[in-house]
Amino acid sequence: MLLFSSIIIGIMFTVAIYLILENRLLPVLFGFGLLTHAANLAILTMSKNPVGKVAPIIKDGVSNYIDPLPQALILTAIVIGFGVTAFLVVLIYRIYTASGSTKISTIFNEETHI
Amino acid sequence: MINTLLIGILAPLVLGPTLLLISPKLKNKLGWVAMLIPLISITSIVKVALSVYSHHAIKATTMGLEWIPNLGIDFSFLVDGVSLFFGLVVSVMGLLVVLYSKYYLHETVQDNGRFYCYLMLFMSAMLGTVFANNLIVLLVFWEFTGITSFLLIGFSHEKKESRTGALMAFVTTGLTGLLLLAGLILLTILFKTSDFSQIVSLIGENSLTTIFSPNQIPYLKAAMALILIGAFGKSAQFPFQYWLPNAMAAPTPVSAYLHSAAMVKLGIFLTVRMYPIFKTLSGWNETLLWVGFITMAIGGVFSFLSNDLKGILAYTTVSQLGFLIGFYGLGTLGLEHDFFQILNHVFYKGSLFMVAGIIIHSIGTKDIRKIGGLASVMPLTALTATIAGLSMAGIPGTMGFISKEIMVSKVLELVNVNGGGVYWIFPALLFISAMCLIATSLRFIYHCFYRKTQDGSLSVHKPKLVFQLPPFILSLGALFLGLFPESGGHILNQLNSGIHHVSPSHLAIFHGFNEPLLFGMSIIATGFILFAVAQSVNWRFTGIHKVLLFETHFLSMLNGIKLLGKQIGSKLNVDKQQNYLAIIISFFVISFWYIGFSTVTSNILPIFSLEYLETDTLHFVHLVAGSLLAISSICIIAARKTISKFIALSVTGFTVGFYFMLYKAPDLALTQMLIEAAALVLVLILFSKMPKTLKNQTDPIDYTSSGFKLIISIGFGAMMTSLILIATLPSSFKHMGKYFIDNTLSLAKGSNAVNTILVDFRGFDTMGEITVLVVATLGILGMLMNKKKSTGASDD
Repeated sequence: MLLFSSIIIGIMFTVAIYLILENRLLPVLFGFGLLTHAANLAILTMSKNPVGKVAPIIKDGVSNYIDPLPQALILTAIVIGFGVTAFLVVLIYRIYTASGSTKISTIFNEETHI
Repeated sequence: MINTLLIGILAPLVLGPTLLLISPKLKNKLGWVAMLIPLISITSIVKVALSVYSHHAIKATTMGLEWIPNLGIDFSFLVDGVSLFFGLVVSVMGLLVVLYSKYYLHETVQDNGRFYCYLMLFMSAMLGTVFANNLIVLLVFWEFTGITSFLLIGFSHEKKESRTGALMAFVTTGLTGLLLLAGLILLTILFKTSDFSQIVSLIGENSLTTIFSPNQIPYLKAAMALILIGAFGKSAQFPFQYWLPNAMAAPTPVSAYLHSAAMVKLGIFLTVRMYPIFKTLSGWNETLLWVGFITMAIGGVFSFLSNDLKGILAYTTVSQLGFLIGFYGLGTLGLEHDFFQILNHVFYKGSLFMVAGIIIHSIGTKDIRKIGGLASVMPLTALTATIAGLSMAGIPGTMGFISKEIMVSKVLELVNVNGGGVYWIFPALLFISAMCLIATSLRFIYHCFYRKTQDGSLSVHKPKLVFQLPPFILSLGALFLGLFPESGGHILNQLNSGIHHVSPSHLAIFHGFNEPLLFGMSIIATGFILFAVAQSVNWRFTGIHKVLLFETHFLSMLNGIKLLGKQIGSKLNVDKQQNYLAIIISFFVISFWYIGFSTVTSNILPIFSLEYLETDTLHFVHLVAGSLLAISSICIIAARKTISKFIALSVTGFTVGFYFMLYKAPDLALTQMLIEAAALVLVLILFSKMPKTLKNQTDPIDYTSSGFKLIISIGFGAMMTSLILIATLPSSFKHMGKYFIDNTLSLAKGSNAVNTILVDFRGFDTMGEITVLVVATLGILGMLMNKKKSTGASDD
């Protein structure tokens, strides 16, 4: 499962970077969203192979728990990722209302020409 | 003792800013309060000096506190002849300058609290530098003098020339200070200690060539060169002499302090300090000689050609600094009476700067061509300027004469020792500079005070007597030591720091008719002739050609750097964000694969072996979820319409939630689903605010740029895959989680380990997370409220 996950995460990173390099703000926003997902999954792989493990909720007579630390880290990261997404959404909205475009080249060229 | 010394050094630093607080209440009386601070420093230093004084000599003592023991850097100070001499000069001059400033600032400057505050900070930095024993401590204070002098020179920041002058001084001394840092670090590495006194005792009387192997000598020479550049930059030596005249834009008390006693003397100080280390290294004396004497000649000639009162003094300062550096370049010859030379300059130059300040303050111009006949208005200042000016010229009866005579005899001795030849150039340069200085001094005295003004229309504001007092005191010093040199020489000789002659020669006004006297007299004679000639043509030739002024070159260099930056920026497409981002990411990816390729292949290839894959079990449900993730993410690119792209992203997000479930993370799965739903709503609201065309907008596909982007992205993705595989190698790490599993019930009283980590074990992280969310919310609110305002304004 580890090898498989790492390849899937690699694909997600590839797509995320591709989107971030786009010229329009909305794909960049999507790229950031996907980057968050990929990064979270990458951290999650640090708990190694989950097959045969149980969730880190303590019960009597169970000992093969999965590592809880990556999960705790990701839980924080998801929420912060949402904060970033919300911020970017409003930022894009403001850029759009201010400049009437979501094309990065147009927006920045306008600003430099002013 | 360390406490007393620390009070002396740090009192100005601590008390200086308090002057800011009390300045609105005291107004002009602030000067009296400010004078207390240098008094504290002087008292402490004298107390320290008395404690190390015994048997007519100063016993070099180190004292200090622990600072960074891991690096062997102590906050240590060295009290010896050199540091006491410079420390006393700095603090006593500081006192006189504060007294002088009190009257100078009387009307011209409003916020005198700020002025005194900077002055005190600067004084503290100076004292720290001269007393520092550890090389790193020395450098810290050294740079602090650079920063505080920047504030002082640029004090009248509303004037452009002040800003330019301050910038020039700061950039020059700052850059050379960086080289000094490199030099000191090199020295620390070579001697395996940054403690100055340890280095000196390590060397002892040995030659450096016996301590170090031949292949280490180049490093020593590099250290020497770097340190000397640091000293030359600070002391305005050729080719750094340009900053000093420009720093004259500072208020005159600052010039009097910085350029006679303080800042520019640091280079001299550093040369004296480093002398015991480098004295046996070839190149040390030669560099000092050449740079010093060339600077001396340039300064002399330029002062002769200047018309600006302060410019004249600035170039004579440059000349005198060259004189001092060159004096140390004479080697063992230059170690006799060196403090006498420095003190000579402090006395007459401090005094002349203050005189110039009085003149500027009284009549509001600094063009020497427009000044005249001031002797009747301010006789005391005229007397002061005459004494100090004659001392600068080196006329018998003043300290300057003795100083020049020492120099002349030493230079002639140098020529004799080395058998003439090319060494005759040094007496020649000395002759030129001394001759020009005499003519300049005579011009300064005569034109300002004794000649009749052409139109007589000068409106003179008569200065107060106390205002004229500080320069008078200094000039009296010059006169006294000129008439009774042996008494002053006696005290200065007791500041012996181990590098000086044990029994220096006797100082006297008259040594009998000998070569140096004849040489000195001929300088004076030609100086007078030069003055007479210049006077007869009414100084019409003055003014310095632009090409010779290094500041124009310096400014064009600064501009060149700016242009170069612009050029590189436009080449790198900094103004086109997307290209720039691509460059950054591809640089990152390329360097990863270039550096890490061998690591990646040797670590990852074994993973693909069968036995590893057998342990890496993969269920059908994993396969489905993973494939869905991959396909939906690829769909984000493949979809043409923006809204379809977004739906694909949402699918990915929910699948990630499912994937969390596979990793036995129920909390994550729950949170992910919730957040994904919230994000979905948020972006849909965004879409509803945008016109339809935008949602459905598609860009024409540019295959070349897409291919390029794809290559970068795949490189990045492959990098992440490799990193994950390397990080999860069986040998790579131990799980941290066991601690939390074991302790969640006993310590945090909760069975869900993830929850207890968040709210208990790592509670502060969660606090941080909440803070981030609050900040994001505030940012969003700000942007939305700002929008309302701006649209409201446009409605009007």
